Amino acid sequence: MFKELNPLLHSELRLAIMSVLLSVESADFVFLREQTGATAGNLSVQLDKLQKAGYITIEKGFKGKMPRTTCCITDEGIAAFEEYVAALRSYLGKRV
Amino acid sequence: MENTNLTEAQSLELITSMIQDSRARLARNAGTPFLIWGYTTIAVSLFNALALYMDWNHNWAWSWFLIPVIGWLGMMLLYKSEPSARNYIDRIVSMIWVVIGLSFAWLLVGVVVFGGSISYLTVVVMGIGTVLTGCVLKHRITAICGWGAMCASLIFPVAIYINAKSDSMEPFSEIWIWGELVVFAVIFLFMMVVPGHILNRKYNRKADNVCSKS
Repeated sequence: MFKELNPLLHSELRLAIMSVLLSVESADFVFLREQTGATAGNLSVQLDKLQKAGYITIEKGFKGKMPRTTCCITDEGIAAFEEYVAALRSYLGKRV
Repeated sequence: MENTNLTEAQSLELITSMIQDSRARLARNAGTPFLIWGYTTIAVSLFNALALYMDWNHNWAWSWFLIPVIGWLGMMLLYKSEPSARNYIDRIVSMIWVVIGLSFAWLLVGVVVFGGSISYLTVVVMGIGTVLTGCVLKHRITAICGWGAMCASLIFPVAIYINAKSDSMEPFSEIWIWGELVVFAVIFLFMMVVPGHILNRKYNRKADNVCSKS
């Protein structure tokens, strides 16, 4: 029996965001936008969805005089990501 | 990047490439702090060596305070120009240098009050920081440069010993007045500038490859 893939993570942009945040301790909005190549509007919407699910935290502050949005992955996010990767492996393993 | 669903294989590929690309991007300019502090220290040391050689007014010695001023300004400009993301390696390296900086300031007070070789103390403490940074970054050349500088720092106590044994008018004592700072600058060249350039060359090339792919 295949494990069900987490629909929140099974989308290109949200998975890319989670992968980036997993490899860093924190990243600001500009870094995520450059890294994923997404538009600011789309990125903002997807970050909001991940935050509502409790997978990431978003902090708004300032870097000098410029507003700055910093994102971090939560323990819940790490657990969901690990579960997602395990499910992916089971899919690929059984197909091979 | 769009909000589309991926196949299982594409998902794994995306995760791998995102993690690798983020690491490569974050490592860009990893050697620049070494270059900022290294070049500043060398310039100020050589300037002071020249001032001693030319027998200028001793007030020029205040120029040593330019090192923390220029260093901090350089670091602020560097972090302002970079997109902000931090991983645990950045945090560990930053903490190493904060501890090294504070320890150095504390030890400097002791050396100034009770006497001793400031050059020896500086090279040993900064050498420890360089070795630790090389170990954290898993960059052998940086660690070797740090160890090499710590070994070379023995020149300073040896010179003090020779000076104490000899007449102050002997050629060595005359030359060492300004020569100490030239040796200090050369040690900094190999301890910070050389590994700084090697680190930048290595990591910036990786980051450029990532940028050109994306």
